[in-house]
Amino acid sequence: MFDFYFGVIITELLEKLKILGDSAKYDAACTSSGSDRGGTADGIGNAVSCGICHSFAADGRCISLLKVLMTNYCIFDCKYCINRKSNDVERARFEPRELAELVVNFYKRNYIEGLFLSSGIIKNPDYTCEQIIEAISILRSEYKFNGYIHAKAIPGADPLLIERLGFLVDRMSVNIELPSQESLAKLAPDKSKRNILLPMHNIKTGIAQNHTEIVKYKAAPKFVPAGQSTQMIIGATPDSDFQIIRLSEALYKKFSLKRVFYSAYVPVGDEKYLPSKDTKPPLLREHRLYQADWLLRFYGFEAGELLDEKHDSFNPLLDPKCNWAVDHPEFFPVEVNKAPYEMLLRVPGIGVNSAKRIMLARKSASLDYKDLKKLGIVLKRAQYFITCKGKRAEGLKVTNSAVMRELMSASIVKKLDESGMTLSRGKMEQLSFFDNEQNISMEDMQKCLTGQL
Amino acid sequence: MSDGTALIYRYDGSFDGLMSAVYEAFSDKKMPERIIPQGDGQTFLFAEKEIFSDRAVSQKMQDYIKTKVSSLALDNVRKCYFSNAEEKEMLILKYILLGVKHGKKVDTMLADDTVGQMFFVVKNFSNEAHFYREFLRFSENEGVLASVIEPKNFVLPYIVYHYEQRIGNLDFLIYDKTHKAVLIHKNHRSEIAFVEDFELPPPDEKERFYRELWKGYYNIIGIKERYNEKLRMNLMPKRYWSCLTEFEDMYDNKKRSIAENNNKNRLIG
Repeated sequence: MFDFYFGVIITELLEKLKILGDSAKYDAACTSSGSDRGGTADGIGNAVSCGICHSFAADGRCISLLKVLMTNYCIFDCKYCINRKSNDVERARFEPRELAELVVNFYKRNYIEGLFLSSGIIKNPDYTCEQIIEAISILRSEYKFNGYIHAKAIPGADPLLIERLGFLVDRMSVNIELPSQESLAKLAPDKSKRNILLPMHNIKTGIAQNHTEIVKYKAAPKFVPAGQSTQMIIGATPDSDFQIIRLSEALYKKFSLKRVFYSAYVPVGDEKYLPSKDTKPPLLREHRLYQADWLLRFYGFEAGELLDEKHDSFNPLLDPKCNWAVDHPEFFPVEVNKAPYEMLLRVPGIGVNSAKRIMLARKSASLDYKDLKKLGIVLKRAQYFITCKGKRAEGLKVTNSAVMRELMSASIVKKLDESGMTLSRGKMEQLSFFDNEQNISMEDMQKCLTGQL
Repeated sequence: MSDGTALIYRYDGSFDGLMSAVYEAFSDKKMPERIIPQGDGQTFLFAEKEIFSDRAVSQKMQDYIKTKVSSLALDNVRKCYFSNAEEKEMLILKYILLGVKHGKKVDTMLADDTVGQMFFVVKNFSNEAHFYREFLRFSENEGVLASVIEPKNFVLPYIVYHYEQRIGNLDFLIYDKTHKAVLIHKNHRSEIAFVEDFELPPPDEKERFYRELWKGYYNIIGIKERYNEKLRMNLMPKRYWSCLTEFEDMYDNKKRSIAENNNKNRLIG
């Protein structure tokens, strides 16, 4: 297919790309959102605030950025990490220029929105950070690349280097990885809470200072304009959903983070402190955490409303919003034509877009169920929690099993059916909101579900 | 508005023509049965009225919509015109009539049938336009980036700006196979022209080089333990796959096996 010389180069670069992409793939963040800028007179690239996915991998995750490591050589030995020093894997390393050229060529073919660059620690954190800076500098100043760049702030690197990097990129992230100090001490002996939180704090301060400068001088260079994000690994340690979601809340509030990502732990080796190699990644748990995260960021929920010390993990059967609604009958039903926006948002089945459309449509008409359907609002779940002009939906069947089936997602219902469980046995306290005709034991169901999911 | 005789408007298919037709309905104070472009459908059951496409009238109509209704309404009308919705001309006429009657309030009348229909047409259109910011691939050949797409809606006018911002300093072209239209961007200027046919030139060595790299990357980036074919298909509908570099081998193989089959059939026949 290729001539010999070309063949050698492509095999070499392809191998490198495979190794360094493979070792970066466990990072969940691939979004290109938060920056908005047009093209430049002499360069290539723009950034769109909503972000653009250019493809979806076989696991259904978005591919927006070329997500690679500068190198997967690492002097650290974090137990959960595939690139840990003690792990026997193939290693490779990009030359800064080689990587820059790859990015530009992928970019102009519209394969990607930009670059997400992270790295194993080579020599020391400062040197590693300098390598990242060099690659990105080449991209920005030689190739005049104006697309999206997300870089990892290397924990332990000199704050001045982090600052320099911050002026080159759109987004920076420092991964917390493990949601508690104890887990960190056990599994990432080379990292410390301080090493992680300090750069996070510095970036936050840098962004705040930069905002005041931009107000003063419009042309002031932008520092991390798309904000910072972080990631936590789910299921590698015994930390509870409540601990995790409370930490996320603090990160959003105190560190003004733009995103917290959750990554279901995929076993990467047999370590005594980690789940065994045949453990399946806890995808449903990860999904519930993302749903709860959305509730924190866009729906006005607080972590303490969703879970507490006593109930510290999410219901596998119901999404966190449904679960909250079922637990709080005192707030329902909500009158669609009168309820404030904040309350509409709390109705299961009504999302941000639907709530906004209802608010808009209310201005010129009083809405009934038919109207809601025309607005594109899905009533499957919402119907149990709303009234239209004071009326309940016609023919609404409010029996436990019927309601439960409507509230659960299709895939959960399927799993239940396959397992032969019915929804009409035992006692299900959660649904005391509805008629107490027949109930089912929550424990029973949880057992049967967690076994499979 | 009707005096009993059903009437069909025949326009030249252009946006100006359609706006002129709407204006015609206003000044006639008479609703046509249908508005159809030239060369479309049999109409022997109805009387036909030929609409003259008038630029000035069209401009007047657009200004009117923008000031008396809203710029959102005008944007909706344009997108609807470029969409593949059935009977879109009548939808546009009814929508503008509502706008004349209710003014700005139309933007909030989401439960009205016409407004609701318009909303879904526009949503569908915008979704597809966004898909072509995501799932479009260029191939580089002699310094020009070229791409072929197969959209249901005529999205080219709505993705020009995006690609101008992105790669405006490079020359590029996007060929829309469905509508036989090509967007050509050369020396910082864009133009849309209609062309019967266009095919990508075979990739040169450098182009193949980057395609191989991209495919290699695509295939390793998914996590095996998380494979989820349904999710991937929901987020990236299969109808876009055939134009994506990452699936080119799959579609090449398909093409090859179809060709082989055809050959076989020919031999048998």
